[in-house]
Amino acid sequence: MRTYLQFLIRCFRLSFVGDYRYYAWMFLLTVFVLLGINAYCKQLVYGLATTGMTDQVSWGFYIANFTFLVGMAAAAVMLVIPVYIYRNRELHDLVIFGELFAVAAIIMAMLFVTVDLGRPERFHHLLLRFNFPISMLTWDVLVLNGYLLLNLHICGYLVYCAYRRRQPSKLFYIPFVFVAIVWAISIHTVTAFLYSGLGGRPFWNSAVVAPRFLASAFAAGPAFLILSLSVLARFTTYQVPPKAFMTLRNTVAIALSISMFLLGSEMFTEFYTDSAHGASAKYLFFGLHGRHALVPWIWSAIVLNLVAMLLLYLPISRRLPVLQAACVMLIVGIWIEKGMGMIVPAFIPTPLGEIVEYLPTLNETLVTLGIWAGGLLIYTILVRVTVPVLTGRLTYDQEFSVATDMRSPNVAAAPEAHS
Amino acid sequence: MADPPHITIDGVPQNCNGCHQIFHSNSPAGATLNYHQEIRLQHGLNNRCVNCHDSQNRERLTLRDGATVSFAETPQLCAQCHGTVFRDWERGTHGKTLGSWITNSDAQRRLSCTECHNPHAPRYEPYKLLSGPNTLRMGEQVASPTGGVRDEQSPLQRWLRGIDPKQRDHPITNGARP
Amino acid sequence: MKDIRIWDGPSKPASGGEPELTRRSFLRTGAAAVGGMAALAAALSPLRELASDDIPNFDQFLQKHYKEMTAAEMEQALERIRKKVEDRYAVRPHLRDVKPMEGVEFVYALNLSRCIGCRKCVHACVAENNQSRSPEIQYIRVIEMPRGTLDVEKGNHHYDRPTVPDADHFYMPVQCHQCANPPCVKVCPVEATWQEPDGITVIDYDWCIGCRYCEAACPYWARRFNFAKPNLPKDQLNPNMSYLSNRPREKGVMEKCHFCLHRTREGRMPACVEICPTGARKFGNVLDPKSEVSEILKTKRVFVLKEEVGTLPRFFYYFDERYPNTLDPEALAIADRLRAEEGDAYGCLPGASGPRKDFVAASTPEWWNGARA
Repeated sequence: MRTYLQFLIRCFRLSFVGDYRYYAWMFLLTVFVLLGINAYCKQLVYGLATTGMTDQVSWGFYIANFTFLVGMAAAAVMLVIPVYIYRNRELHDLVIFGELFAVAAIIMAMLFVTVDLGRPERFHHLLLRFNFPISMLTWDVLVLNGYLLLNLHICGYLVYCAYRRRQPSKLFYIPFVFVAIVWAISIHTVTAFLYSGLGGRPFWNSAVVAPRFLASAFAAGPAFLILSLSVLARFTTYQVPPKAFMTLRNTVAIALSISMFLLGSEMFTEFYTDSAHGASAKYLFFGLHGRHALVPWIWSAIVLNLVAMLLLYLPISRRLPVLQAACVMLIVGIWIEKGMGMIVPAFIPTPLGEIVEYLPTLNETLVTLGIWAGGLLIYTILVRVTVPVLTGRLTYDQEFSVATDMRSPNVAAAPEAHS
Repeated sequence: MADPPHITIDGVPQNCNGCHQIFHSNSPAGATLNYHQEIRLQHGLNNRCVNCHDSQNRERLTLRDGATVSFAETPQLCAQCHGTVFRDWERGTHGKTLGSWITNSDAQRRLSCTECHNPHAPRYEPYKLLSGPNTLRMGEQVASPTGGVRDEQSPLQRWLRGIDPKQRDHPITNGARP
Repeated sequence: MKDIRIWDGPSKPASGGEPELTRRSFLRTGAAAVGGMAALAAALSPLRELASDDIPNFDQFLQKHYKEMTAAEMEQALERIRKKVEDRYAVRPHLRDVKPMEGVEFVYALNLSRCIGCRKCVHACVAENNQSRSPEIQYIRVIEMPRGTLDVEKGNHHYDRPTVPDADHFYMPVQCHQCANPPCVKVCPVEATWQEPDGITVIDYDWCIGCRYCEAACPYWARRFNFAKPNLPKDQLNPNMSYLSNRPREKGVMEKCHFCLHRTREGRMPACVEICPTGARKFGNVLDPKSEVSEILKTKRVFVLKEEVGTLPRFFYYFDERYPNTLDPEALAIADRLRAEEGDAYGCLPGASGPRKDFVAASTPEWWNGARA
């Protein structure tokens, strides 16, 4: 126990240690977190009128980001499946970064739901009268918390074993890994059911929402991991096998193709049928009654996704900068498509045919940025602590020094310190 | 409606027969009225006073078979032509009920024909409408087509003016068709 | 970059030796910590503007769900609310918890042939139910619809005319339909909204967490959210109120039409029925076969909005027959007599099988696209 506490304390202190780039990055994130807290305090005082939401468009930026981040969290499974089911070697050591990101993404998703509440101080009502299993939101609460705990356990256990220089006992984590695979799919399915179960919103009331969510998540999640592993390879001494990038690239390409196919299927059904139920899709893609705030967004998303897909299938994306560019494009594209492009149009027109458009306000945007910055802060700290442990430079009997950890332009890579 | 109707002339309450038993109407056709000039008879085919008013006793109404009813029993008179409406009124599917929704309650009162309709011009007058919704931007009260009020006192407004000028140009629609 | 030791290792010391806890690093750490705390305090500073009556007190925080409260606890909660209303509006409210009546299921019927779109119901409802005046919250939306369609997307919510009705339009008011299969109740994660035995879907304003899932689920756009603190002038407060209906609401909770349950559960009519100048609105107990709504369901052609979503509304729309009901011998006799007396009484030539051609041309609505028909 004492060793474990010491481990936590060492991790905590380690998170304050780094070179100037680390400090600059953390300082930037902290500034955004504080701006977000400030904006949220204003929202607490004046109510959700500080957002762009109205009775007509009653969910907006917060829920859009929530949806996107649940997908990002679920995407860790795209590393777990190859490793634990197909025995992929290159990805084996990288799984933990996917799981760490899942932890950060779930925390962000939960924060987005919390800031969307009108009465956050009544959160405990969930514990007192939990409308399970009737309300899909209660399912979401359960699966998100469960997924957070699963990932915390798996990551925490593996990292702590490395810290103690012990071989992890399979009994303590392999069953959880397999539960987490199913669980990851369930969190995004439940989130999709949150929307697709509403008969009053024809835009959401489609069976293809859940598969679409999963496909787009399995593209955006590994794409984000490609980016974060690139950062890891660039700034730390951690060795990322180049083949791992190629495996992830294949995953992203296939998931993105499926996602685009499902989007196409949805568009065909809406536009070929051309019924009154297609009004929201018309608004999204072409505008309705002269209102078209989302049209440029959704088309940029589609163009970004198509270009990214093309790049990923061409051999040119074997080069890391091209691969990174494609990943950025598809993350932005999917963020627009399943965030604002999925949540907002369902409210336009309203069930009574009124057209009120939605744009996030500055305050709402600051809260959103704050949560993103907070999530990245958590992820950075987790990775910051994990890398030295996994590479054996931070163990219960081993001291740690920065010079051996950060790959700095000022200092030549120091030889490994431990014996 | 009181039965029979009263009017007050020089502070003295008068019944219909107070005049009509002294001055007899000269023309049954009644194309021009010398008195009761405020009455605008717009009742379609029914354009004779004595179709409804008893020519002998102006405090009674006349039915087609020659029987008379009091002013309190107007629905029986109207029912002679407006059969379907009368049927609906009796069932409660036409007209207005006040007081209570409980069918056997003493408080329940169903308005009779002439309490809503002017018997001489039963068609409803065009009605002045009240202001429309102004709920589009919560807290930000943009003048609506029906003249909503801009609320300068709202704390949100004060705050938004200080913090976020973009807010005021929020591209809301007023719902009007282009 | 120099080595930074972050703890005194238990075992072998590494190259550096001494931990660098110098005065300089101590000052630097201290300055960073102070700066961080100051920035956090600055970030939290807007909270100072939080109104004191906006923060729930201990009793409110611990208040139980409506269905779990004992009579004594309910009385305690009512007293707390009375006091709060008195503090805020300087009026002692007549607040109570009205229970549903036995053997009653409320149903609403609205005669589209009679509604003239005057919006009196909208404003009567606001006055009765203590809705926020700014931001504006209204439970009833009257839609001006072009003749020839029931597609609400073709309607206008913001019509303004010197007088109503307009000859080319009909008017369709929409409010909570008090569905027998309410999607809003299904989705609520904390059971803050539920259906009462008399069919009214109510909200416990002290239990709602403000997630707005019900607002997304409602196919009739009947629910409203308090995006800001409700603003209701003191002299406009209706002191006759009940726990589940028109007591003043807080910021951040949902509200909606509740068929004026503080009136209707005491036998009175809802405010919108009472105010309606044309008698287009009908309200009553559908379990009573003699009630007006039962008669309407039996004898009129009724329809519900969006029947396909399966919500089973308790709010019915109906029309008056424009032509006499040909199945009713009494009506048929009257029609025959009128036709004999007046000839072309209804825009139909005697013996003709359909409407006149010029009538069709004149009554075709403007938006109708003949090419697509």
